[in-house]
Amino acid sequence: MIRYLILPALLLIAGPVHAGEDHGHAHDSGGDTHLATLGDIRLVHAWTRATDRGEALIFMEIEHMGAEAATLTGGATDIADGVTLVAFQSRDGAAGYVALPDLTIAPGTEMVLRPEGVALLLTGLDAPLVEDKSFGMEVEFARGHAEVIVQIEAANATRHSHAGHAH
Amino acid sequence: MDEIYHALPNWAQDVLVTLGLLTPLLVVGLIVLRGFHVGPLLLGLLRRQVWISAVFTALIAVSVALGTGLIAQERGLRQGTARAADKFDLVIAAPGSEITAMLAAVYLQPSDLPLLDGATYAEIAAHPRVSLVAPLGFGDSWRDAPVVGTTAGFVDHLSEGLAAGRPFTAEDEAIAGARVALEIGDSFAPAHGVGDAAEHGAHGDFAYRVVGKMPMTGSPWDRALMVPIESVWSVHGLANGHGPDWDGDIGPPFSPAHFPGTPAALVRAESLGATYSLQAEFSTAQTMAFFPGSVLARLHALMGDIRQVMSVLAVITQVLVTAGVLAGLMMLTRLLARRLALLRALGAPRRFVFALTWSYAATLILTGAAIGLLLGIAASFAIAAAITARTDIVVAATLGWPEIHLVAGFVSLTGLLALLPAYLTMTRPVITDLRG
Repeated sequence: MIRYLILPALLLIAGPVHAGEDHGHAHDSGGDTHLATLGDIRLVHAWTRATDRGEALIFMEIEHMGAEAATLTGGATDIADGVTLVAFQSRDGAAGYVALPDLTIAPGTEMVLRPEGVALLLTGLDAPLVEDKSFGMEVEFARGHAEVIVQIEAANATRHSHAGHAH
Repeated sequence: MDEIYHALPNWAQDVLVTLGLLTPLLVVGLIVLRGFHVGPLLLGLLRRQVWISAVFTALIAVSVALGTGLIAQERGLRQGTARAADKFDLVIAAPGSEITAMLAAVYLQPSDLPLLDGATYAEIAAHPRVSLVAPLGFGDSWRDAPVVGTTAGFVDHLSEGLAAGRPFTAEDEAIAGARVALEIGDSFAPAHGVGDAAEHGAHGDFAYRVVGKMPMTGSPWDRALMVPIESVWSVHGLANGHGPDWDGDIGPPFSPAHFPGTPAALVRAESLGATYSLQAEFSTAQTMAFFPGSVLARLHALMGDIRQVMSVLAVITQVLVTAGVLAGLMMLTRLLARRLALLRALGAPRRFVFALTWSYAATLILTGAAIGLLLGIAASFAIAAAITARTDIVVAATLGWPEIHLVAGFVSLTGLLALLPAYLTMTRPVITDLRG
């Protein structure tokens, strides 16, 4: 019985410790593959589109519940040569994605990485991305990185298939 | 192979696609014409059937022109609407429909929008990463020109420098868009509302004097009149955005307590990343922040499907017209059957008749397609001019690679279809045709 009381208590104590850590790693998300955390940052519903091209855009929702601004800087994954933070821009009738050095996420806000918005661009993919599969990648912040599972949706998808579900 | 293709510059990819689409026609042409010199007889046939050939060619040309002209127009409209939104980095409005707010703020379409209050506006204006914020107040008009209340900073941002005159510095001064029929020194009285329902004289004797003229922007703002936001509030009997200690200079800063509200605010940030950060910060229960460029891109993505349908319909229409032409060609070859049979009787192989008939059809198709492309350019300019006149959005429609790909695919497909009448001509009984 005591064991069942101690474990939640330890988790409660552990939470704030991680929240204050710099250069930390993602928390255990309790087996929820749609959710990853880094201190007080929650990364939900990472997804991409099936493709046989060498590039893919990664989208997700980043909820920042902390008190200080967080800075998204990029990412890394084993299946691609590079990961770049990009933002959609329309200029003189032509639209496309341009590289961003970093992105500040203010405390208490939700930054949604989505098509025609901010995204992480994977370049030099090793193999085609197949619908309904998934892969892991690191999302890097100035304070550390989080491990997310990226769900591969249909080639013409506009959102994660579980978008709107609470985690 | 795929990597090599994607590594090529765009123009080289387009050339390759065009060549790929033309390959079936080239291969068929080489096989059909191999060993024959059909030129002199083909010229004779064209000369003898000049009017029929001209009519067939014209039919193909018109169908190609319509197809390519419409598709080029769709692309031109897409680029024109996106260009018109270039200056609107981030728009913040009260929560509601992004599309409605975009249509109001960027394209000046009359809409009934809820207002942002003074405290929210002050919060945006005070944000350290905001380099420009301007209220946009709609609702009044002069003739067909919307009168928009804003700040001199917004006019400068939109125009990148006035074409003539100076910025407004008093409540009764205005800047006219490039296509407004008012010049510097002219006066006008604003009507309350827009269009047929506008109430003339609703604002009493109040009149603005034009002190500056904007250059062309290629957007609906070319037909707008920009006035100090203070005057829009004042003529509607509201506080003018400034407190009792106001020094009389129009423009920011505004007093939150005396700020009557604005339907939308244009926001510029210090960088693209900062603009996205601001969008996240001001996407709340009280405010809606959006990029008009992104909203348009999502709409255009939907239109992308329509464009594909349009392309398919254009090809189907062109193929149907060509099928009609080829059916006519089959009847023509029946009329020419005796001459073709004579050729056979003189020793010409069956395949020569096949090659002659196919090359005749291919000549009509290629000539019609080439003329159709030229007509398509003319049609694009004509339709673009009509759209620009109606919407004030500058649409620069010119034929591009997608249209060339469309025509290349059409030429190849119909070139293969032309094998059918050529085959039927080749298999006609020579003796029967000779007897007439």
